[in-house]
Amino acid sequence: MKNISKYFFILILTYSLSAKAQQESDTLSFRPTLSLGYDMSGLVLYLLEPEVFMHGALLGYEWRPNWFATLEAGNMSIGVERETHSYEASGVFFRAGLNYNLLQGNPRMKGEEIFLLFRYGFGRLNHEAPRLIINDPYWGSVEGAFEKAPYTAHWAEIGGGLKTRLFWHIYLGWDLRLRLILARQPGSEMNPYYISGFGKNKGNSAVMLHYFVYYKFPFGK
Amino acid sequence: MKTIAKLRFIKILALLTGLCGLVSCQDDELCEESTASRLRMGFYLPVVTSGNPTPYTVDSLTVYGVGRPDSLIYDNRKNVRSIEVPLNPTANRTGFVFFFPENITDTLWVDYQTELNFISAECGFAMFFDIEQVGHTNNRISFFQINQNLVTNSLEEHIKILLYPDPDL
Repeated sequence: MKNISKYFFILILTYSLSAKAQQESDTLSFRPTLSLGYDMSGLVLYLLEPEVFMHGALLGYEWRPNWFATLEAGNMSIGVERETHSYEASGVFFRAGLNYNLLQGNPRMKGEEIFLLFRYGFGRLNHEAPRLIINDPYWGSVEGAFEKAPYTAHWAEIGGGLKTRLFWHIYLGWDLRLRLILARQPGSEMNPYYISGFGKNKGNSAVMLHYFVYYKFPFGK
Repeated sequence: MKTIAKLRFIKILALLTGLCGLVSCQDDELCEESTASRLRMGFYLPVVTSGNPTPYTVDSLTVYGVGRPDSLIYDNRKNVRSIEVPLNPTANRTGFVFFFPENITDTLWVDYQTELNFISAECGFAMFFDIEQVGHTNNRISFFQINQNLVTNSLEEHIKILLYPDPDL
């Protein structure tokens, strides 16, 4: 019985030491990576809704294995000109957060990712309606204008996506995100059509699909 | 070799799925959304069945906006269970006069804040209303419940109007 306990203890000790050595070896072989991305979903949105221009860029830094600190920034502009109405908006946004790669420890998929993401977002814009008509058959139609006014919003987002190598150091990837408004500061009685960095302003949540092209800087190779 | 080809296939499929998803978010160029925001009200009796007031059908009803007696919104409409009325987009208060059977009349006032919304490039603007307060006379209307404060272009019921039971019953 004593012998069995002794062997069992040695087995656990050997396994612990070997696991620790493997972990240390992984940590030692890890080199931080830096990637720069461009959000192509703005281009697709432009094809679907030519009045809305949205550009976004991303900077990702893998500071420890499978954890990426991510900073995103961009701008938005809207210009609608119709016979009965016109609407203009321009704004900027910032998003900061983390990506966590679920494809850890798979050597065949090195550099590629299936990830979960978490972000905090902030968007600020100015918008105005130089000409508008509210049609009301009972009280009568209202014609007028709405002066330029600011609008800010804060939100949180969660989501997931994937990234795969296309060729050389170029990667492609998409992710789907659910956004939830945390706070808004409307500067007027007019609600914005889009909130920069958030998406269409319909309620307190939005789902957005992003399509990125990345350049991964070949550090540590 | 087979595994690598399989992996490539999965990668391409995954990327195409994303692209298809992006394209499927397409908006139509025609205005398919209503820009009319109507205040929707239902009639009820203050008899609670399974936690809710009992829906009630008014035999006949005439409604007009205060200040517009020449322009009827409902003209002696029969069997009315619910109504939808326009709030004045240039004011913060709109009143409606109700003519019930037996020549019973009530006036209902709604106080609100207006919110201008850009619906889409093709549809243009719509006014939404945030109800702050409701007041009424007490001839046939007993009291009210606000279900939904924000009056938008959706089809929700905003106010439940609870009536005194029919004098004939």
